[in-house]
Amino acid sequence: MSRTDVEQDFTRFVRRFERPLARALMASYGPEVGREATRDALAYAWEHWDRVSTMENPVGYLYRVGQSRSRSYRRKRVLFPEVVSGDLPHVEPGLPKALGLLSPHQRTALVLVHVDGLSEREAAKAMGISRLGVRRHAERALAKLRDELEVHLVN
Amino acid sequence: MSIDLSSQIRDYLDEVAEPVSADEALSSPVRPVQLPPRFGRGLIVATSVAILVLVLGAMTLLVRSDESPTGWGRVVQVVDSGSGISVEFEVGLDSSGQICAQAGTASTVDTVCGGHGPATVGFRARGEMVVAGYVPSSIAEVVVVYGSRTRRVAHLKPVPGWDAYAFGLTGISGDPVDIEFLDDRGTVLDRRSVTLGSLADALGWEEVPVPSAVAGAQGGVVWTGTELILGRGNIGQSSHSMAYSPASGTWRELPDIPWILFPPAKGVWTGSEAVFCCGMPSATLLANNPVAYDPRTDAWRIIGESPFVDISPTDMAWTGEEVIVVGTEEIGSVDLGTGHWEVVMGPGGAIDPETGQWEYLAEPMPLAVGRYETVWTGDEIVVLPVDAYLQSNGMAYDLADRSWRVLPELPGSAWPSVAKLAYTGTEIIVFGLSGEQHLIGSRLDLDTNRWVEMATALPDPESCDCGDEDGLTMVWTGETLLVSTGRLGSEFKPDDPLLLAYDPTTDRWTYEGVSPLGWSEPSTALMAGDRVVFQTKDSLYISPPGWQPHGTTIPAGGLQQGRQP
Repeated sequence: MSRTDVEQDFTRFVRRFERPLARALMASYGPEVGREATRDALAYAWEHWDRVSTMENPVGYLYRVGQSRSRSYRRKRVLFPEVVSGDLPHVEPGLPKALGLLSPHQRTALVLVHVDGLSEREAAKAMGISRLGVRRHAERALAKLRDELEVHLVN
Repeated sequence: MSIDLSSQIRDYLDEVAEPVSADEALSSPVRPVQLPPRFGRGLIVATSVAILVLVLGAMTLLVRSDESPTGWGRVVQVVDSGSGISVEFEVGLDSSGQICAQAGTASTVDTVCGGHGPATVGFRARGEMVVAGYVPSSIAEVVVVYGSRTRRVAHLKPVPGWDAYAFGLTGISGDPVDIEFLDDRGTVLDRRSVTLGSLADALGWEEVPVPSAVAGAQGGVVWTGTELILGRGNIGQSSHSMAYSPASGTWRELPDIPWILFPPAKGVWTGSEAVFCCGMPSATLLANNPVAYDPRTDAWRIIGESPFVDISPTDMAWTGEEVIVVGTEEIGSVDLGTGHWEVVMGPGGAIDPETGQWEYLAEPMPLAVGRYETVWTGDEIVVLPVDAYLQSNGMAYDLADRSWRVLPELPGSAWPSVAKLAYTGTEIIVFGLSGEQHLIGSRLDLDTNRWVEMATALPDPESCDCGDEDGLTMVWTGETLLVSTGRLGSEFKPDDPLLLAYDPTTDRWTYEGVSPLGWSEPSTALMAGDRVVFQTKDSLYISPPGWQPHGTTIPAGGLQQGRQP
């Protein structure tokens, strides 16, 4: 396989997995650091393409890579910017603030399981905690969001 | 109003950060993934330890000065509620004008002096870290930037005869804290940094940094009678092991583990070998093979091939003939609307380390359980659901009969949603956090097969976020249940974890101080002879030999929480 073919494979890989990976890392470290960590994790994936390209759960693995990379970027406080009026009319205005009130573990578990669709077990391996811990963090995240947003959750 | 939260979060996160393109990733320089080179970490640890030693050394010179402070006639008494146990201390000046603080019990008084002027003083008493000092009356507020997460305002009390206020704060963590002095307009006039040393030191325990070869990873720890063997692994890395001798205070490097352990891995000592097992996710396509280390030959071996595709052990035990791995392979589904789980599981497996033969343990559990904890009594594997959603009775699996029995219903209305189990020799103790966020516990007498509710330790930890991943850890010492509560309070209003001891013969709790673990998570505990050992990813916390609880008895009804002045 030529390098061009491999690069095309990698480009398809990025198109497929960049968003779930970025969402998980943003949930953990905020949009700014999360994006930097995503870029580094994908660069790592390219560097180790032979291994990463065959993985069943590359998002979980690259999340751990991004987690490791993010250490040099991390901020003490994770900030989620407010929604600019009109950009996302269907999104609750209080959502960014409510996300900021969750612990990083709670946000990450919530996003990996309920947004990115990983199984609890896959999320647990990615986060380095138990499956039961993932469930508990996600449950608490949902409960807190429900209280904070004063809404019922469809999911 | 009902909303689809998943899609809202997805759309929001997708909106707030531009996607990383393949071109950007291809052109991005690749930095080393591991932090960072291990020598660097070791250097940081070594430097930190050196600084700590210097600070503690300096403090030792200050503490217990033979010269009695002479300024005590102008002393003010400050009481900080801390974790509910009042640590009273006094602030004054010694003959050289240094600010001093003293505190203690009727039998022991610790005094520390340091700094001139409106200074702050680091102080340790009965496991509490105290920052004390005085400030001129122009200062309106003293704020401690605490644990880099939150700020706590100190009480200011007028000092008779001084144009000043005294303040004090207990429960400060072992990390450096910044103390800000503000005027009445909120302007920061001065800022001091205070390093108090480690929480372990305050309790008289040892904090032993884990060598870089195994630091940061998780896994099991086993006591051989002379050494603690750490078997650890992490995703994407090979597994490593080190041995620590508490008697000599030295680490010994062991050969690399010939198989891979994942973070839930646990270990057990068979009398001749340290056996570690499992935690392997099925995605790796590798079996959960147990490995054994023999200290006599300094060699590892792989024990047979495990039948488990994916097991996260909750417990391992040695029966004298077999190693029991208690965990689960499960088939389950969860109703996201109600949070209810339906799970079918087997209890685990047993392996003969001589032959490497595995055996599945009999039938599925008689009752459905969700989240659960286990403990081995020597005859039975006790399984207790710790799931506020699915409140099944506990069960016990008799290894001789290969049969289950159902335990009586837990007493009380509260149900543990996060808990740990311990076996005292006659009773099973379950202690943890109820779904209503209260710390609760019960004891099951195995002779009478009856549960008894335990006295309350902490009636109302506010919005407690403590749990298995957040450091709730306990160990039976032989006479006492020792509990490190895990972090109390919420993410944005955190309180230190507490070290509590429970005597089942009197149904009394004692408060031993702030837990040496601080906010470390997760952690495990075991007995190493007559020493208590807590293990975290980066440190071991080891009690003095023959450690006994000697804290303050917690009154009926429990400690009153609330660190906010």
